[in-house]
Amino acid sequence: METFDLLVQGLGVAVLPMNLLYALIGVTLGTAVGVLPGIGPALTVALLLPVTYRLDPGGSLIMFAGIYYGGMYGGSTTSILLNTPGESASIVTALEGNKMARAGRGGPALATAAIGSFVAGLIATIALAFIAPWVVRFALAFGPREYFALMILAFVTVSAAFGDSTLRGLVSLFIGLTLGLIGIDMQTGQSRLTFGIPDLLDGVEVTTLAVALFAIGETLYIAAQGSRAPDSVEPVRGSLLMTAADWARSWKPWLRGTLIGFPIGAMPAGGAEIGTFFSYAVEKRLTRHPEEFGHGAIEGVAGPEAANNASAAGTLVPLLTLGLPTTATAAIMLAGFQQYGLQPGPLLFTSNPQLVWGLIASLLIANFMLVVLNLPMIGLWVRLLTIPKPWLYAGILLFATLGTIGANPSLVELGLLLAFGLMGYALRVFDFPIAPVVVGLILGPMAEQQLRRALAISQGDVLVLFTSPLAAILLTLAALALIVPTILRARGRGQILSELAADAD
Amino acid sequence: MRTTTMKRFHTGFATLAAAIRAASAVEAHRVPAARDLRTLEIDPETFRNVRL
Repeated sequence: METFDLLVQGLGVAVLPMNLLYALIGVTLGTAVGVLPGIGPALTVALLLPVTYRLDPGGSLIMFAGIYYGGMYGGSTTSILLNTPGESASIVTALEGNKMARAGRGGPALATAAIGSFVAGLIATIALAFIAPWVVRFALAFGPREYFALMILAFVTVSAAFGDSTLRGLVSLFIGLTLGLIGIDMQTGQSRLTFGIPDLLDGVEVTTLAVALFAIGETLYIAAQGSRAPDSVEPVRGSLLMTAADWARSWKPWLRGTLIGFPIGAMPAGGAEIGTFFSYAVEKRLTRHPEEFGHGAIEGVAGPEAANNASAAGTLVPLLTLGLPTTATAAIMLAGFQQYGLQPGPLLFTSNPQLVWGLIASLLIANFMLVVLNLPMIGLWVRLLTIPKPWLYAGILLFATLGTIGANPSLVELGLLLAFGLMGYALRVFDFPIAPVVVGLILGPMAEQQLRRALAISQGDVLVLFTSPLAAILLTLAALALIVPTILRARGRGQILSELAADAD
Repeated sequence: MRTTTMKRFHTGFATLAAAIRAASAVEAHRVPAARDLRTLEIDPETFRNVRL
């Protein structure tokens, strides 16, 4: 009941005209970047960080969350009409969605994607509102050693557990952790890794790193792929409305997609893509029309689209309640909180309830806005694809540079932006994950602070980290998350080598 | 009965693991391994037609 009251109060904040405007800007921008291939919510929020730091914190965060939700909605349009996913979380949608469009059923495909996203977004946001206070109550009992253990778990899962290579993930993480060491040590006052450069005494700005890696690095990478054949849009023929049979075949996949996407989004390093692949597999196994899969089955659009939107809300659970970013976009949103001096976590719910509940309530409103924006304006979104790519990339580079320099006018900052941008490009070229770098920079100093606090309390006894049952469980989980995937990958490689050997015979 | 439950658990776990690997590949702008796509009930040829 208390949660319901808080949510109602949050709605009071969310319907303020300025907050409605921020939400509208967020969902519009989010849909646009979702439509444009190669540009995602992480890049967009990163680009906006430097230019929003003087705005109202609540409004800016509402806008960032709107971009995240909108990106998930917009990605499906190009997947269905062009077979070119605007977002990596919409790749699975293209498998059946584009086939439906080619068969003249683009309208129902777009409709089930939009309505499924709406249903999933709504249910998942309500789930977020009701689960968050429980997690907060649990997290309030955390001391320094539990927080340290939680951060170790986050480091391992984000960097090593779910990628292709543990080593590459850990290298990315340690780059971030090293960058996090730069600046003045708060306990001793000593400067670390500053090389006598005064601008580095305050440490590396998370916004500079995020903009460089996600905006500059990603843009350089996409531009370096060269031009490809022009996209041919599959025109939407017939009605946008779904038939009774389409509704009957869609509602269960929407609900199953939500059930799959929400917990996976909340999982460290979950990400929306995992839920979409899993949902597709589940729908294909449960369908009564298996013969339609591969030729345009509506369940293959409804389930994955619901999963990716539910996962966006799931991501906000650990972010808001524990201060843990589980995806790249969440890591950048965390940087957004920090630029206003706010630290997401259990204390934010007690110290700043208006902001948190206003943000959660605004997501409900953003969901309604997205349905209105997406379905009737499909033609407009598709026209965005006619923007020449060189203009787009040049615009992103210019905006990223001006934004960073505007927020922090310094030559050193400009140099760091360019150096980190090139580093981001190199990391992508050599298949190193990007998110662990940002997570390392954000959580590294916090983990260090909690470790030193725990050791100060125990007068230097390291065993104190293992004597709390909760911390011991979290550290054991972290060890398992590091060891088990490494063994599974080694076994997988062994199987592939055996298959190759058998083929060669 | 117990064997069926174990088999379902194993299938679910294998599907989730394949989904995690496939997601990691597409995030890095790569086509996932054919074996993972087959576990996810996706035809690798169809997937290659999607313009990543």
